[in-house]
Amino acid sequence: MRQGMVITVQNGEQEFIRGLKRQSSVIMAIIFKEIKVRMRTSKFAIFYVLIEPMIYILVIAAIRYLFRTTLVDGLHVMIWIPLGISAYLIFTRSISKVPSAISRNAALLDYPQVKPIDPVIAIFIIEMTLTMLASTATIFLIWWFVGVAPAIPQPLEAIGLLAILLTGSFGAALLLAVYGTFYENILRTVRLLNRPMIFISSVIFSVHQLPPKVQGYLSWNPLLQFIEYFRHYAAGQQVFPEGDLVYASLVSAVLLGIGSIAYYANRYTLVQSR
Amino acid sequence: MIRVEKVTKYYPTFKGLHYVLRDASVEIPARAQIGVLGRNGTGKSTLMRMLAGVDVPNRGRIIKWGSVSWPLGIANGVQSQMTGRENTRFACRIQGLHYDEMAPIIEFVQSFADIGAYFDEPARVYSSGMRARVGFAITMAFDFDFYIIDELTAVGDVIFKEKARQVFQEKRLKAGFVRASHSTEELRAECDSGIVIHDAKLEYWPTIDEAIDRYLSLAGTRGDGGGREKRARKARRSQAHSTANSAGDSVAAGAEPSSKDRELRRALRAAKRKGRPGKPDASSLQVN
Repeated sequence: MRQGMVITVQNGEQEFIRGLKRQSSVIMAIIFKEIKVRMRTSKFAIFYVLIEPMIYILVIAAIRYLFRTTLVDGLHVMIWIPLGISAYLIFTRSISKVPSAISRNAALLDYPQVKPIDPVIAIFIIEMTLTMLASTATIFLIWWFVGVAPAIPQPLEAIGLLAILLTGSFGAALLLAVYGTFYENILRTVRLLNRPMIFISSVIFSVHQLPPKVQGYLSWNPLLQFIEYFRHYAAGQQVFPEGDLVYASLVSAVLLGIGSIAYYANRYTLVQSR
Repeated sequence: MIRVEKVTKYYPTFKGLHYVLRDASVEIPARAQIGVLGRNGTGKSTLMRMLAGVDVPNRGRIIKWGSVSWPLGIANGVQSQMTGRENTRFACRIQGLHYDEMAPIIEFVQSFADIGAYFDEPARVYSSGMRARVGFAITMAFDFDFYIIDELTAVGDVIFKEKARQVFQEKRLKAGFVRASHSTEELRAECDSGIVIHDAKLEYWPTIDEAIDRYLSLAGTRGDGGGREKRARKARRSQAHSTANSAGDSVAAGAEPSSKDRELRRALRAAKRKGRPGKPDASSLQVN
């Protein structure tokens, strides 16, 4: 059945530009609000959010280093692990921290300016900024204390790859935010399914050390493809034989498309479901 | 102006679709003071939310010329995690105000809501009255062409009600109000025309008296709210008569009672309950 509509007749400035400005104001307002609320919970809340992935990265890297593994796939372990975990965290934090954004900010939907997608975008920006800041800080710390740093032979490609990964992660987060708001069990299931991802995405153990048949199966995991190519562009590591960036990019585009369609189809139901 | 064109709104229920509005059309002129009446569950709040743009119809369309406020109700718009100040700042930001433009708005909300140090506490510790005061103050801090007010009648103490009445008077000179309420007295005092929602239809009445009569007749035929209203009116008339006699007040039987009269009657009733009929004590007569 065709959906009805509420139209606001505006004069002067173009409605599209006005809409963009309004939405950016709303997103900024939610970002400010979220940071304020987190800071109130604990004075060190933002510090903890930054330090958490750093400790995560450093502990895993240190364990492998202590087991006398200094080189993985031709890279120093203190470079190999942080690069892999950085890309891994971008995806996993997107699908674990962002989907609850709509239900957590349901009261804000009483303002007609706030649309359900706004808290999703705002929380995604916060989480991704903190994750990337923490990863960069960790790499600098390792450079400072251990004296090794990624060579970054293809910086533009590395940035482009991160952009594609962020696109796919946002699509997945949006999809889960829409259906997770209706069915909370979906989020619980995704959190459970997310657990083994660290072992099958070449984050702790290299995919190069696995038999070719297993490599073939694992190559269906787009996150593994992203991590492999990120290490390739940021540190010059060889990509495993089944590496296929086109496939990974396609999955990202499909995730963004499905996420957007899911949001568009349910944008009114999300407001009513509060 | 707000134009509601053939709007249909329904909610899915276990027994099928529950229609709140079906092909409803109405035109609300600029600066109109409209009261919305209807029994509980007839769709007053849904209509208010759709007029504000928070909700959308299933069919039809609502066209708005000018700015329309968010629906102002008892629990709307104030986020529990944020303080009163942060809620105000948030409203400023989504209205597109710059940081240096926020100070006078925050000052207005703080002084209008008048909740003291609680203004800098998270709204989750507020009472429902305090939340409503902050929400009301935030809405009144901005200029809209239409204010949407959903059953916000019993908020605040006498002083706050007086402040609210004054700000309403100022705003209604340059803006329209759409108010949903069950208080026919309040709507009669504040509104010029009325909309009655009944059987998923919107009925527009050019005068509020006609709208109230229609609402009461609809409710009365069902032997519920209308019956109560009639009984209440009868009780008020007889009470006003006895009050005028006993306390020597100038309230005439059948006249619209003022807030002072209501306070007096309440005090008399309280005194009666305590078994001390007659003159209530002086403190309970304090109105302002």
